[in-house]
Amino acid sequence: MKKLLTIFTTAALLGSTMVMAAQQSSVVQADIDAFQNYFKKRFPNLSLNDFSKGPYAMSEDKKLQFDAIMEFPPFEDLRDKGEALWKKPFKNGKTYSSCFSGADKTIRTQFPRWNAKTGKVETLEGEILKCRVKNGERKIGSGKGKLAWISAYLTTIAKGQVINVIVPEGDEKALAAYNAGKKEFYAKRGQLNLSCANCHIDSPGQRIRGNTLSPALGQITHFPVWRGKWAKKKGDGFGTIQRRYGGCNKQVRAKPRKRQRDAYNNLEFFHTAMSNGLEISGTEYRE
Amino acid sequence: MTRKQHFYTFALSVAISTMVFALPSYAAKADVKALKKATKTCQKLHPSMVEGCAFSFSRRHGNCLGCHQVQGGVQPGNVGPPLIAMKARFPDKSALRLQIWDATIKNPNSMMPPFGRHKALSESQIDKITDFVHSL
Amino acid sequence: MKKVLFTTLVVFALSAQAEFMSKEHNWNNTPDQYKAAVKAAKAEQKLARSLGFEWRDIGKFLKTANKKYKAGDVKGALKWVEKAKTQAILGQRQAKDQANAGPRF
Repeated sequence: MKKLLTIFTTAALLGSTMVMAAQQSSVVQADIDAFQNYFKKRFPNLSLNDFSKGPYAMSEDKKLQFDAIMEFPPFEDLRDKGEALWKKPFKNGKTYSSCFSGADKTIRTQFPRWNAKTGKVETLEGEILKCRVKNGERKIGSGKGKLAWISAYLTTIAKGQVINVIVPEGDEKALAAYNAGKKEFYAKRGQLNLSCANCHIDSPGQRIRGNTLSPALGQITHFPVWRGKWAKKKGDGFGTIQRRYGGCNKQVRAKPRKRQRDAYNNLEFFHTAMSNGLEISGTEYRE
Repeated sequence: MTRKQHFYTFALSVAISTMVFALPSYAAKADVKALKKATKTCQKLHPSMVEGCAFSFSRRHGNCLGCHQVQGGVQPGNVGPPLIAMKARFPDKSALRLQIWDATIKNPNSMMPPFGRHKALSESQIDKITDFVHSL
Repeated sequence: MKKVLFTTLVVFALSAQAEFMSKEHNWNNTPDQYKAAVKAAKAEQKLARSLGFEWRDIGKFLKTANKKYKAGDVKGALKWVEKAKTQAILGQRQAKDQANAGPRF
């Protein structure tokens, strides 16, 4: 009887963990391996986590500049504001945490994730926005400002957490979303006829005018970022990854997609999965 | 007025009206500004081919310096090869023009924008840029 | 007499030509023509967008066209509409060209 009980509970436990941690699609895993091997081969001196430093991993001079700025990050105040916002209860008494599961520092790497029920990709920023609506708070912008500050806070406390995006094996719809994101990444677009891959796979470390192109691997680990360029424009310098996608699209003279809709969410799904195994490096400065 | 004088006035007025109608109405303000800036640089650098040089250097036209080193060009990119010894690399000038018009014909994955096919530059701008680049 | 005949002839020829030209002018640049062109351009723009390959400035071109149209410059407006339409069609072609885009390693 005791034995039977043990077997039963073990089976139940095993079953539940299997539901919890869906297995990675083998197609996707093969993509990730090929993607990461390409970069390792091209930059044999860099460790996997070095790629998070983007252009700063490719030039000593730039790295020194970066280190100097990160000693007293220009965005500390805003990130602290993000923390305060995260912890401040809504009018109904609940907090943002109520919309998420697990410890706060694990939230960043839970996203983007596949929601089998809705058949859509969910992003961290998208869920923060939904959380506000669900709790009767007014809508806020989707690319910068408060949303980016909150997300920056969650990214900072997630430093060292490992990215692990899962496209569940056997889920056709999830794979279709992933493939849509993959195509968004590899297709040339805009009048200048450039794909994400043209710059960030074919030419990382090379320069467009004075700007060094970053490798696609590790781009996601430090978003939202605080950019000098954005600080000069309207706004405070912070922006989400999807704001950045929009900027890239504009530069190749393509019309940016709407943020937190399928096209960019799928792209974020693919783009983040390619950096599986890398650590979140916390919110960072970028040019 | 003599007949000759009449002819000059006529030619002048035609030239002015063409300039007035062809240039600013078509281009946005920022384009004009970028071109002006490039023209200034080019008057010093390549005085014999100011126009072709200006269309090549202007960030809102050819922006060759985005990816290529060009003699005298400040802060060039290095995604593409330096533009030197072009006559040796392109003995046939029309092959160079075609490369600028649509680089994806030779290499479908080329990063170089197909300036002609995508109408990022006009045909006459491409002619002038070709002349200039071929001279490098 | 000869002089008068000559002058009359010239005046007649000129006015005929002017009328012909103005007819041609109107034919190409009526408000109806403009509205039809905008409709066609917007349809192409919509198609490009649905494919995910709309270019950045198409909307701006149509706005510029509208400004010109409102200022009475129908011919100038049509030029911008045409530009918008051309770019929308080029975007659709790009979508076709890039249908099988993917990694090369």
